Amino acid sequence: MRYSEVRGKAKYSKKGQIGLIEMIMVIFIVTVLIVVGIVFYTGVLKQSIQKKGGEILSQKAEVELRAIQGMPEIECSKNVRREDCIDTLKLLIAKEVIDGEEKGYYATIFGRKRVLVKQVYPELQGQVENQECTQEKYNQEVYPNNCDTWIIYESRPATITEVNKISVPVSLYFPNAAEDRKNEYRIGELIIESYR
Amino acid sequence: MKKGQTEIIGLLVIVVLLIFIIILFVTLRTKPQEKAIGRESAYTASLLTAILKATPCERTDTIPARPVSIEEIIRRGIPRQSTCGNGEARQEYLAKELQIIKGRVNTNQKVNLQILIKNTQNPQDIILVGNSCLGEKTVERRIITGSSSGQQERFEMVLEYCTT
Repeated sequence: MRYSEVRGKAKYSKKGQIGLIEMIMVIFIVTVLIVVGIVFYTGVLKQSIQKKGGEILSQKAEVELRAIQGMPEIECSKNVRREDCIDTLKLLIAKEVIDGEEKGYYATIFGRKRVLVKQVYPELQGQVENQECTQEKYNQEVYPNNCDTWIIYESRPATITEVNKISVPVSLYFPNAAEDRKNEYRIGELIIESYR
Repeated sequence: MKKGQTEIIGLLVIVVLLIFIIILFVTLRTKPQEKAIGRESAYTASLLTAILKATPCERTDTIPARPVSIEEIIRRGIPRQSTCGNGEARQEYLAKELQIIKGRVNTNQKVNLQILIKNTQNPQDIILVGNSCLGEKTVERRIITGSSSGQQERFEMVLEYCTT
């Protein structure tokens, strides 16, 4: 009698232990699954928010790209009629205006950005890649073959974490580029680099 | 509740959790990407305008020398006295220049561009630069009328844009 009682007790205790271990295992697996799910969901959510942020920034830049193209400061016109192109002569003057007294006004419009126009066709010979077109370059005889970039606006933050670049092809108009040439058109890109 | 039933309920809870995670994963992975149709359309329209306006060469029989646009070359052919090409035919010259433009404008590997100029009255008079897009594409067309050989001709310039 005593033996079977002990035996029964021992049996009961072992079974209970197995049940307890089983329950702990189940709780552990369920917890792991929930944690993995939460980590995964948070990661995806973070990625999605970052992507959406990038998209919003990109859409904003697109709207600005259109607005800049139509700015009277750089848009070309013939006999008061607006044309679908950018006047490179106006670009030189626009930079002076934007960088001058009106810088604060343009800073509220553009914010932390770099707005530039780059000639892509025809390809220029020699080492003129990324050479900024200035009044000085304009006065040289070889203009417009001595530079390919017009920086309209530039405001960089102290620390840059992300640069979002967006561009659109544009027609570049060179009025009276040389004494014997008029109404020359080239192909360029209007580029906006947004900083974050 | 019997022990077996409890075990089955536990198993069911795990299965349900697994299914939930799988559904969540699949839903987030296959979320349709929003396409910036407006942007592509604006891009192709701007590029086509810029190409047609571009003046790669000039006439040498006028004083001062008058620049010749790509649109003019399509419409009237290469002027005899000009700096356009080295005596090449219009087709060869335009194909060469358009290839250069395509390469210079499209530096993004994910974007595919195709430029096509066809004479609607003469199917053999065709200039094709680049490969056609397989997927969803944005197409911009311009009709250019002219007369290169004394008779009225009608050209169509088509620009295809797609992301690969």
